[in-house]
Formats: sequence, structure tokens, C-alpha cells
Amino acid sequence: MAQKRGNILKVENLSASYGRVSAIRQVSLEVNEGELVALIGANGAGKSTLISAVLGIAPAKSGTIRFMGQDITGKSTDSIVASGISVVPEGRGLLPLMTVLENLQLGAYHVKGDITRYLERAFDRFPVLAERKSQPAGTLSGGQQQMLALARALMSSPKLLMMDEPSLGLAPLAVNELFEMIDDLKKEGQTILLSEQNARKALQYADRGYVFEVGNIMLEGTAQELTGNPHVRYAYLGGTE
Amino acid sequence: MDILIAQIISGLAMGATYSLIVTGFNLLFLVRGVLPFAVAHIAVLSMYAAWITLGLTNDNLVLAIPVAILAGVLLNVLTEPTFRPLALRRAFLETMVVGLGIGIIATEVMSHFLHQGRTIAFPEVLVGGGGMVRLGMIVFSLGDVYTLLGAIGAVIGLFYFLNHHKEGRAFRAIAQDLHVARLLGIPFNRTGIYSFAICGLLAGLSGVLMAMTLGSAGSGLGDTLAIKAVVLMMFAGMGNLKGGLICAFIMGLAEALAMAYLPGRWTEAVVFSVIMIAIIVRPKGVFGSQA
Amino acid sequence: MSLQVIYYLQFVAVFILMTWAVYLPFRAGQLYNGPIYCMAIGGYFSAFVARDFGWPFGLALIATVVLGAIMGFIPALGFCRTTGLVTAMASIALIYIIQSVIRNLDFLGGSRGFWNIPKVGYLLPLAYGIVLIVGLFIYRFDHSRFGRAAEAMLVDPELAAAIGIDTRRLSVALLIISSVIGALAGAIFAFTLGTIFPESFGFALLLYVWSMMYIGGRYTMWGAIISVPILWGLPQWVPHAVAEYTNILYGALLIIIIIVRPEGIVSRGMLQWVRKMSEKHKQKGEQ
Repeated sequence: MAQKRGNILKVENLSASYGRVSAIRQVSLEVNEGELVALIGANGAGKSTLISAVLGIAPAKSGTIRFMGQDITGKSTDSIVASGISVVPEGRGLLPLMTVLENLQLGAYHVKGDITRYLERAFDRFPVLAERKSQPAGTLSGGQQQMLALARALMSSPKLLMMDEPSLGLAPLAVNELFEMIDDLKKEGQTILLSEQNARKALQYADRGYVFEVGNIMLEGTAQELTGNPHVRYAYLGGTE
Repeated sequence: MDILIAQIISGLAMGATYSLIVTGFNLLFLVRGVLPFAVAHIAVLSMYAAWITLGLTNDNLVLAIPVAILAGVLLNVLTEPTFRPLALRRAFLETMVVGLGIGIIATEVMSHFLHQGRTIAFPEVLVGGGGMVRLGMIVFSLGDVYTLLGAIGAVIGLFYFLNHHKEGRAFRAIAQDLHVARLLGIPFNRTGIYSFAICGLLAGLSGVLMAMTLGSAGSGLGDTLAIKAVVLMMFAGMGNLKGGLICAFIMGLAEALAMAYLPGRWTEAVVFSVIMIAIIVRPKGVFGSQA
Repeated sequence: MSLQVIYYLQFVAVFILMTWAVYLPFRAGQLYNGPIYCMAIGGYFSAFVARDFGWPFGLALIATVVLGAIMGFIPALGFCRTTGLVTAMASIALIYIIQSVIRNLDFLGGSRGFWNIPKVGYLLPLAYGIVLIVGLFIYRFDHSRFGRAAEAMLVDPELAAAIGIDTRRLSVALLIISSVIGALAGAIFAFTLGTIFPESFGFALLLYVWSMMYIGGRYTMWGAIISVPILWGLPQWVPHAVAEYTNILYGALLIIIIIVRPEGIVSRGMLQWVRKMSEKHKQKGEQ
């Protein structure tokens, strides 16, 4: 039995919407220290809305969000990010006109003091980025952009790293690289909340998962439990294996 | 020929003062999506602040310049809250109208309360100490030189800030993609105030430089400057910092040359017609806008 | 009726017309300053032909309308292609241009102004007759398919073009009509004052008209009817010392309205409410 880990994120009965449609209703989930938690579900099921809500972008209609024990419901996005949550947005969310270096520097906006060692760490982990330091981010390939988005999110040494559909639009080889990188991060102790349409890959590496459907959480459990679940196998893992 | 060069320098100096105001407009356009019409009026109010300081301190130049710049910063930051709800709604045309409203108030204050609405004139000490520079046969005023140097310095400082400073990068991030900037945790309110402060600095500095080149100011100057700045912005391309700078200098030059060589009374009509047609033909601006 | 009241009413008529003139293209999304430039043209032209050529006022008015249409047509060709801020600012150029031109034409008095414009006895009723006619026209327009087309252009110009609205032609038409109304207002203005200067048609006027439209209600013609008498009347009814601060008040009101009640005093919501109320009354009456 895994030892009790500290709770990083606790969402309770959260209802929130992004746009006019109420996108998630009465959602409860939690992420503990060092875990890789996966959010599975179809497009529009509410996974992205949850991430937006945690960031303070989608306003919470009811329920609470607790980060490291503190209630962050209703707080401004900048204070939430400053307290240690960062996101790799859907579609990468890079600033294409700015250089790789500048994008990384922006990732460290809330970091006080000299960020040289954070940059060095990023370049060590992603040598590809070091080579293209001064190139505009828009000139990188899809996989490289994903690396940059990830590196940027890590600049602030976040307590919680959230990733929104990172494999979207990537070639299979890049997807494999990406998930290996995610696994490396997990082994280093990074707490990750991963929202993915590619359920197979996500459950392969995750500790636990939640299945979103039409704005609610239909199922939850360890990755093994979910992989063995017939509904999950049918709907998200491509039938019998 | 030497007269021509002197006029060119004088025109460039005038353009230098425009350039700071246009840059301030462009900056707030990029970072906040507002058209801060009244920045020009604030520049003129800074001139008044300098003038008052000179009057009270027996022509103490060293004090007057920081006072003017500080006045610019404070006044502009004061206007930030009125723009905030509009910036959030991205209601751009309305920001122009609000800016206009502030401009009206500023002009009225100047024409009623400050020096009873009479024009203020700056003493010799400010206009380059009345000193003239001689390069061979060419003679031009020291004030123009200071103005050019001051403007160039400010612009270099601004570009350094935008490219090498954390907050400057944040400005550019907001200008390029507001949503991403938000996700990165860049605070909307704080950056807004910073940008207004920097714009106010540019306005105050521009006021000081105008005191050196124009030598005088009246209550109507704010409106004239504001129109010129907006028209320049559109001509160069909204939000185009470099384009705005270039066009500001061109306008200064054009005005100086037109005043010297065209029958004086038609200058304005000609300049405005040209600009108007250019804007209609190329609504995105000569250098392209970043809208 | 005292002279002061007559002047007040005539100016109110002028500004209602001017506000409507700016309102019309604004219905389709264009904030256009052409009416002000045509106001100068209309004012000076009608004054000129009346004083120096002895034309009767009626004839001068008709000629002003024609001239307004022509002078409005030329820039309209360019401005129908632009939108939003570009139109607003570039059309300000028109104002500066016409002021500059007038200053240079000595037979128009240049900067010294144009004096001794002949008096017209029946100006007040005539002015309001014009207001009524223009008002009727705008009312009919608002409720016609052209009004709805303009509204579509305001909301989404590309969609409007896609569903077959000839945006260019409608835009040009609105710009020309607004110029004509401006010219008419200019004529009334000139004959009310008796003396006009190039400065009268400048930036200050622009600010007044914009204020009146934005404060009164920018999406409806009834806004002008509320805001103009109040805003114009304010300096008259208020003690003289406070009257000095009128412009500051205009500026402050403008800012407050845009932040607090962006649509203006007479908002579309209010109009709908009025409509609902009057329908209820009708139903009650029929029962």
C-alpha cells in the first residue's frame, strides 16, 4: 500500500462553466504529492473546463478548490499561478513571435531573483531547446513546441503541473517522447494533472484517473482499475484488447 | 542649403516630441487595447507643471524637469481606472471617447484655471539656454539638440525595457496574446498600471522636450497634439512602435519644411489631406498594424 | 418669447439635427465626422449666397442640400471602405481641411469671420419643421429593411455582406444623407448666429455632438431628443459661475456614461421596456 502522500489539490463539488454552457457540475477530485493523475474523456466532456477553473479562468459557480490546503476558489489567475500551479495549455499556448529563450523567461515571471539556473536546468533537460534558444518559437516543429511549452511550465518549479491535451496534433513518435518525458518528471517527484483524449497512453503512465462524461465524473480509480473497466475499455481504449 | 539643414534639424526635433507621444499611445494600445487620447493633454499639462515650478523656484531647471515627468506619470496613472472596465470589455472605440472626455476636462482646466487660459511661455534657460550651435554656416538651437538626444535616449530606454526586462516582456506577451499571458500568471491590473506609468513618463518627458522646442503652450495644444498622434498612429499602423516613431519624425520634418516652403496658410490642409487619403487607401497603416 | 429662449430652441434644433446626422452612419457601425465638415460648408454657403447674392432663404436651403450631397458624396466614396476608428479619425481630417480652406478664402471672410448674415424671420418654426421631417425620415429608416440591414452591419459586417446586403451602397447612402443633414444644420446655425467663424465648426463642436450622441443614447434616435435640450440647456439654467464648468461637466458625463451605462440614457433595453408597457396598455384598452 502506498504511503499517505500530502494532498496537493482538492476539488470538491465544483460547478463551473466556460462560456454560456455549464460545463462541469458537482465535480470532486484530488491530486496527491508525486502522483500523475489522468483526466480521461471525450472532447467537450469538461476536462479543459476543470483545468480552467483551477486556474481561476472559468469562474466557479459553486464548490471549492483547495491547493496545498489553501482555498483558492475565486482567486485571480495571477495569484494562483504565483502560488505554484502552472499549466501547459491546450495547443501549447506559446508566443510564436518571441524566442525560445523569451518564452522560457516568461515562464519564470513569478520567480524572484536570478533565473539563470532554472534556464540551465531547462536546457539540460531539453537540449533541443538550447540549440534553438534564439529562434522564434513559431519556427519550431510540433514536438519541439510541446517541449518548449512543458519546459516553460516547469521554469517556476510548480508544485502542481497541469497539462491540457499535450498529445493533440503530435506525430506518434513525438507522443512517445512526450510521455517518456512526463514519466521522467513523475519519477523526479513532480505532481502532474494530465488531461488527455489519448486514454491508453495516459493510463499507461498514470497512478490514478477520473473519467469525465458530459460535465460529470463517471468513474474514478487507479489506472489499473480503469484499464480493466469494461466501459472504459469500450469507450476509450478501443474495444477488447 | 544651411538654412535647409537647420530646418531639418528643427523639424526632427519637433518630430522627436511627437515620437514620444505616439509611442505612449502605441504602448497603451498594445498592452491595454485602449486609445488614450488624453495622453497628449497630459503632456501639455506636464509643460504647465514645469512652467509653474520654474515660476515658483526662480527658474530652477533641475527641479522643473523631474516635476514635469512626475506630473505626467501621476496624471496618467490617475486615468487608468477609468479605462479599466473598458479594457476588460475590449471596447476599443469607447476608450477613444473616454479619452476624449478626459481630454475635454484637461483642456478646460488649462483654459480656465491655469494662468487664466493664457499661453505660457518658457524662459530662455529652458529653450537651450538660448544657446545656438554653429557648424560652419549652419545655425540651430541647442534646445533642438537636447530634444533629439532626450527623445532618442527615451526610445532606446523603452526598447531595452521591452526586450530585456521581465515586466517589458510581460507587456509584449499581453500585446501578443492576452489569454496566454493570463495563463502565465501575468497580472492584468498591475501591468496595466505599469504601462500607464511608463506612458505617463513618456508624456512628461515629451512635455519637457516641447517646452524646449516650442517654447510655449496654450490650452488648445492638447487637442492638436492628440489628433496628430492618433492620425500618426493610424498612418503608421496601430500598435506599430517602430513605424510610429518613423512617421512621427517624418511628420515633424514635413511640418517644418511645409512651413518654410509652402504658402503658410495651406500647410494644415495639405498635410491632413495627404494623411487622410493615405489612411483611406491603406487602413492598416503604411507599416502594418498589430491590431 | 424672449430672445434667449428663441436662441436656445434654435440651437437645440441644430444640435438635434447634428446628433442625428452622426447617429445615422453610426447605426451601421461608422463614427463619421462628415456632418461637421458639411455643417461648415452648409453654413458658409447659405450665408454667402444669402448675403452677397441676395438669395431668399428657401432657395439657399435647397441649394445647400444639393451642395451638401455633392460634398458629402466625394469623401463617402473613400469612407465607405473603412471602419471604426479609422473612419472616426480620418474624417476628423475633413474638419481641419475645410477650416483651413475657409481661412484662406477671403471672400468668406477668412479668420475674421463672416458677418451680417441676413435675418430670417420664420427661422424657428422652419428649423423645427426640418427637425420634424428629418426625424420622420430617420424613424421610417430605423423601422425599414434598410434600418435592419444597417443593424446587421453594425453587429457583423462580414455576415451582413454574406447574406446579400450591399454594404458599400448602404454605407455610402448613409454617409451622404448624414452630410446633407449636417449641411442643413449648418445653415440654420449660421442664420441663427448672424456671424460665423471657421473655429465655430471645429473640434469643440465635434466634442459636443459626440457627447450628445453618446450620453443621450447611441443606438436610438430618441437619445438626441433627451440629451440635446438637457446638455445645451445646462449652462443656461445654472448660475453663471457654474456655467464656466460646462465643458468639464460634458467631459465627466461622457466618461461616466460610457463606464456605467455604455448605451447612453435611452438604451435599447429602455426602449423595449417602453414598447412592452405601451403594448400592455393597448391590450388593456381593448379589453
